[in-house]
Amino acid sequence: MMYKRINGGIRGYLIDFDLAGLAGREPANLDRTGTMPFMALELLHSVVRKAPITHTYDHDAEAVCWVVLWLGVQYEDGERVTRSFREWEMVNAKTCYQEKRTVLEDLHLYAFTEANKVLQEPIRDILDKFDTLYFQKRKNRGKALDLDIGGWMDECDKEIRDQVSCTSE
Amino acid sequence: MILWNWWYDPQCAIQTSGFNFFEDLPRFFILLFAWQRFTEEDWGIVPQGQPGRTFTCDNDVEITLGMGQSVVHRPYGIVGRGTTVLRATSACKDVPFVVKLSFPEESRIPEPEILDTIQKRAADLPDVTDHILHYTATKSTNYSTSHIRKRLGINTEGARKLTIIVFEELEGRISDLNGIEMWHVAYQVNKCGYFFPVIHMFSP
Repeated sequence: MMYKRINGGIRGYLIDFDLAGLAGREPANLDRTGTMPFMALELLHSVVRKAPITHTYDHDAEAVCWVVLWLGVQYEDGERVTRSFREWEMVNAKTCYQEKRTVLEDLHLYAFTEANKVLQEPIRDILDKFDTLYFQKRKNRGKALDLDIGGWMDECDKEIRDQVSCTSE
Repeated sequence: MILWNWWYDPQCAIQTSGFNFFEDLPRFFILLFAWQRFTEEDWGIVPQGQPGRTFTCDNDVEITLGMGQSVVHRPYGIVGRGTTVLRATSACKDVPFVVKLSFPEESRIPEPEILDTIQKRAADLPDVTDHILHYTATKSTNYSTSHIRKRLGINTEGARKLTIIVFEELEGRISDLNGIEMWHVAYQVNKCGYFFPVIHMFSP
């Protein structure tokens, strides 16, 4: 992910499509599904069980939320101030999966740092939704559910924007 | 005095059987004469990756690579995609460019084809097209690690092909950002993933 400032705003860019696939030609593989600490729980579990599943958008959306949680709780102005999630980093997929499950049970225990407070509630909410989605998927035996993940992301972004405009007033 | 010859490229290493160059001096000389006649490309040097070089892309855009401090990204080892990104300029437009040289596996869909597909299928979705950097030019090459393996009659599975793509340079990586700016970039990029028909092997 890269960025460029354009007319006072900031624009994000996705680069490096050399490992991408095109829809309709989905591979279901176990390798290169992401950076382990941030992988979606369902994907992580598929690595643990060595049972490949197709990598889809909801996995990526969930991964972004894990990244934001990881950054929001541990970092303050670019400095790492706590190491609450260090267990995710240095271990195998199984421990990482269990650690993240534990965190999810008690999300309220992991407070975001002052600088990142605006992200706290929206990210807790959306991680909760991903947890529920994963629960439903297991009940449906992995069958895809027709959900509006993009809508969730929009809501999350709107919540954050609202809070930013409140605090800046 | 046995001589073994090794060839390294982004696919793997190839080793010849050894020969005694005292007992078989003519063979040794032929080998030396062959090496003497090697061009840059024969040695595995990519001309479009050398500092200060100018080359013309497939769409006639002329690109000149920077000198010295022009490396944006360089690979860690010999085997693999070996992505190298170098700063460059062009007379066609006064913006900084980068040239991406890499050796993706031939079995993969080429990156320009993926980018073209996104442009085509997402033409009316600015949420997508505004956040996917389209390439300025490509330069086709015929360097493939399969050539030498075909000649030698060994397995070409996993062959890699040199790919050269030119992009306009962006400002920085998301990891350079903090707080709300970081979130906006992450959100925009992530949201565009929702619409377009590409499964990205995503590493946040």
